[in-house]
Amino acid sequence: MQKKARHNKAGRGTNPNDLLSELRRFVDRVGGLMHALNWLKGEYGYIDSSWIPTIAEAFNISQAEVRGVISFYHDFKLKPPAVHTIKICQAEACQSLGARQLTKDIEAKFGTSLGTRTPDNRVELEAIYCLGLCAVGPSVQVDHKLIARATSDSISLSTE
Amino acid sequence: MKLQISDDSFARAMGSESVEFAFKTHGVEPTRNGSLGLAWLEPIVQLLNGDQEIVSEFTNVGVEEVPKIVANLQSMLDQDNGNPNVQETHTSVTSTHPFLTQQHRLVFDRAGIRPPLEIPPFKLLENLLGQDPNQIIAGMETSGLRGRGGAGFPAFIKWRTVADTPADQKYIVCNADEGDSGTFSDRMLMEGDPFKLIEGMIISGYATGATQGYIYLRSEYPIAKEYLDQALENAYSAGLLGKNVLNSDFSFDIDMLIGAGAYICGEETSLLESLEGKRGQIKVKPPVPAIAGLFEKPTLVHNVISLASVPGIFEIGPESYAELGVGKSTGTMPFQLSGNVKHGGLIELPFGPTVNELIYNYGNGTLSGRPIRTVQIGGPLGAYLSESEFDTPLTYEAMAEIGAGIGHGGLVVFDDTVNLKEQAEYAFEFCEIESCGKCTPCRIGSVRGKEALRQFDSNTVDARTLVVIEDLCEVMEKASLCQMGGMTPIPVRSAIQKFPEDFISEQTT
Repeated sequence: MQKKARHNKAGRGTNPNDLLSELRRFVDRVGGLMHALNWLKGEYGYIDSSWIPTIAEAFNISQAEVRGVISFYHDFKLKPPAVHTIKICQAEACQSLGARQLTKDIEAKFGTSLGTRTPDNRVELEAIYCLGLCAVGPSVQVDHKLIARATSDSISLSTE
Repeated sequence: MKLQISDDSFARAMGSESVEFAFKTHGVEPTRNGSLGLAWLEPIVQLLNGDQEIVSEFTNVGVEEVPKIVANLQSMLDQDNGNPNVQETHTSVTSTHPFLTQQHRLVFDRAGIRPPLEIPPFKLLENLLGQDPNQIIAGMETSGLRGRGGAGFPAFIKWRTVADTPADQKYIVCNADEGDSGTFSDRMLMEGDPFKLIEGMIISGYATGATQGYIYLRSEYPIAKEYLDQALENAYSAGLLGKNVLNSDFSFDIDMLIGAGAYICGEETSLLESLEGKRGQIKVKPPVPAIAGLFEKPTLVHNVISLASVPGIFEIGPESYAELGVGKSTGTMPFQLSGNVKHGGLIELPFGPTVNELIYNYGNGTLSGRPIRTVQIGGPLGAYLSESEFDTPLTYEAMAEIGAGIGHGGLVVFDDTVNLKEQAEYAFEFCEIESCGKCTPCRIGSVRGKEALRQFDSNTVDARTLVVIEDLCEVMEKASLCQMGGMTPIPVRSAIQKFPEDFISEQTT
């Protein structure tokens, strides 16, 4: 997982020529488009719509195909992420340890509901389906940090 | 003397990173190791002597205990230097814990014991690379290994098909898209002993004539990616991968692709589409991937644990492997015990223990202390069992008899506060969220099923709705193109049939 400070970068203002040369290194790789989109996600946190023509050009496919791939996968988003993302596992093993209530508690604590973000763009709550920590649930991921046996009290945002 | 701290996703989620940092501020540089799979005890800190024996061990270590452990380490160093006043301590919780000592570890024999990124001895691999590939496939047939990803298909049939299909290029694809809730054995293996997987892929490549391998890893496992990236690099440096593996005539490469949060990509045809850089929509079989898979070439698609089982099979011999387990469920299975359970983690055993044995003997009952009401086996597409079924042995055959399946070996425990109507709704909802959208029964059926159950408050579904649900289940089961839609009815039906009291209240009948 990329841990670069994605918010320091002006994603939208990326020069198409620079982007094109960055993307070229993925073109000949098997699964190149997936590698490229994952790289963009890691670098900027999202994929800006304005990059789609350049991505299509790099891979010599239609813009519709690029959009098709982006829209298929939950990880690829066309909107920049909030400053902090809290992912709360909604799957069975965590449900058995109160993930439904935990979700409500976290929603109340941060004042926004699952799938939405606070108006000040500080926190976004996202559903995730299994972090592979099922033996010590309920599990939450705050930005890159994994939290087992999570409670709303154990969820805090790092201060930049 | 060295200080070792477990470092996998479990350990990190339980706070190992801040503990590691605290040691560093005390001037101690801990080494990291994989996890033994006793998840509830993480993070685990071990003091090892020069012979790598555990001299002292601390579990559930918090930052506040670090000074005490550092003092302990210092006193042991003094003891090494001949200070007679120091008492010798020999305490290892994990190595004598019945949770671990009762296990039969073949796939996970090195995980949590050997450093995960150190190249293991490769005598076995060298040996196999000198054998006739057909002989290896015959060994796979003798072993009786069945796919550990969920379907339980005999592995050797795939191997033979790939080997016998003429092509200029063949592939080995490792399915590391472990998306089932309640499962983490793939993750633990990749973080704790990635070379086991690499070895398995090389052997299967040699046996089938494939020279290129791919690992398709889910994006939710960034720590597994860290370990695999490093392990692959080390494997190339050691000559285990690349041109002329271990100076043999066989060449084999492995590349890795990270998924992007789509459960359906665990389905093999969908995975192959995604690996080609496309939408992960499923494809109708036949042709099976073993004949026309990645780029229409013969492709052996196996789950992580299937591939990681291969070295163990040849280590102990295929005949000995086949003797483990029961009937056609041969070998060992890394079961994963999770959910509302006191002692959750990885339990590798030969097939055949009962559900009761795992949830009570190993799991020690619920974490909440309340009675166990149901156990879901085999992930989100697996059945909810009633208490009367807990004495069923965990074999493919016995599970099939009660309309359930082992799947990827995950058992999720629920206490008596669970509402099975909610769980049935969730089964439909999960299918709705993760459906690839290609076929109507799955795409529309899941939405319709969720709506039908949600129109009533908890505990009040009218009898007519249950008829509609059953009808829907039949359509999804029979007409869906893959198991996503085809198996969603399993948790739904098992919930309705075994826990009717959660669906129909007295006043609605």
